[in-house]
Amino acid sequence: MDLKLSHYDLLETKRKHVRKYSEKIPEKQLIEDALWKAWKTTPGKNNAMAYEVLVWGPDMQIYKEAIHSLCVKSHKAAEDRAVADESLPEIQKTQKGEQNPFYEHVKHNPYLLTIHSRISKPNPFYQLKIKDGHFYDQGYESHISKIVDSVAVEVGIFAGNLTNYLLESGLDMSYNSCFKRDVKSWHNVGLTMVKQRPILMVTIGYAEKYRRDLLKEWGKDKLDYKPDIKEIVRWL
Amino acid sequence: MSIFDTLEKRHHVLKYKSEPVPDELLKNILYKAWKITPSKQNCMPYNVSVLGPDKQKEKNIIYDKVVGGNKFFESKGLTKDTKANPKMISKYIFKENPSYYHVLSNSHLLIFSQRVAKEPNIFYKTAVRGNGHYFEQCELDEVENIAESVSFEVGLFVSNLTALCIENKIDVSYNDCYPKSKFPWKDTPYLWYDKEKKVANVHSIMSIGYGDYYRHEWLKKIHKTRDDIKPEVNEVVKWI
Repeated sequence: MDLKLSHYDLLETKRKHVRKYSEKIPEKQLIEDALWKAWKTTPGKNNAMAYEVLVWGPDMQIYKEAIHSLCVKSHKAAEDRAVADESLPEIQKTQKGEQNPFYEHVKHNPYLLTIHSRISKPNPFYQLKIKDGHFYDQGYESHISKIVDSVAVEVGIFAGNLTNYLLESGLDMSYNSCFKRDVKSWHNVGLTMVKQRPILMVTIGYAEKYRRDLLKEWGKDKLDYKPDIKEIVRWL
Repeated sequence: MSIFDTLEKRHHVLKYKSEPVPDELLKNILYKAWKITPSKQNCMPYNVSVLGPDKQKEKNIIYDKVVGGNKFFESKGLTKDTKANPKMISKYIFKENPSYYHVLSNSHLLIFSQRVAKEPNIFYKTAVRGNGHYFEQCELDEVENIAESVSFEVGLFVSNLTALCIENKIDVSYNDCYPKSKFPWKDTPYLWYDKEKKVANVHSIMSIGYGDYYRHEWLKKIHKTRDDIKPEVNEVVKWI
């Protein structure tokens, strides 16, 4: 792996959504190193890091299938909403009931990370600040849903940084943010070890096939493009 | 240099130098961040509004909101008395937090706010028509429902932008202390996702410039470096 790649070149050439991982299992140490680097270089408001990263390794297949079922249910619920929407034209009201194949990476992977909210404790610096009237909102279970958008930005920074380290190690990874977000749904499929609201999923392994390869095979790779930069970045 | 070494150079800025970052350089960096940041359904349901060196009036408005947000959160702190937030023992006087000055004084200030997408790309148009696929990022009434996943995507953009800035020896700082409600943004029309109701959903604020004085230097000066620490890695990362 060429460590001299710039950040841009690394992401532009190496980060590709995985359709299918190979059977080869990456060394646990590679995952641990990447996670440590992401922890070390990701900042957090009040140094709280009000989230936790659960790592589901290669021997956790039964749990991964349960987690995948939560993605399928969430996707189906979203499609049901589209079908039920009376304002949508009739032409959109079709539903084939097929599972989205691009969630398969959540079920079949060497490593799955699920990132959840976490109730944090203030460090000694913020303990003093609290005495001066500072509000440490990451310390309350009752505030988890109130601050989840802020925590999700931090999770995005963590995931972005983690991505860099995984790609530098020659690994592939993919994100998923389509799943049931209430803890009760997780408990209902046997995932009782999950205590807090999920925010993101990341899968890690060595890719056998990428999504972009499939789109190319279908002749649709040119159809799935981003909005123009002028729609996103606006100089005032 | 590895990306770890690059990101280890990121430090929160208390004061920027007066020298601005050239617009062309920042435009190039923003282009790269846009290019490498992925998004669900390739939608990017957010805007990055850039306030340059000549937009001090607009920066003042944002800074006032940050101070107001800080005041609001501290007022909550005064009323709480729990293990995590033991009742304050000293007399409370609100003071502007010097860690927020970077929002007021910087080369460029970036505000990340949610947008309602106009339409899906051609690939997803087909998915919507053929498979009942729901492209919620186009729906005004879904803005709040999808805010959490938009926040995550904003975080990805921020992560990439940060790394690209540091590679170019440019400093960045973040701020998350501003009104979380969609209503107090009537004086910032460029952030509205609903022009009729004049409301905005701001996900993050980031300042950019050349650092002159950093927070870690200040912590060292007041001998608090060892107090302002992260949770241990095993509190954050747990192997099942």
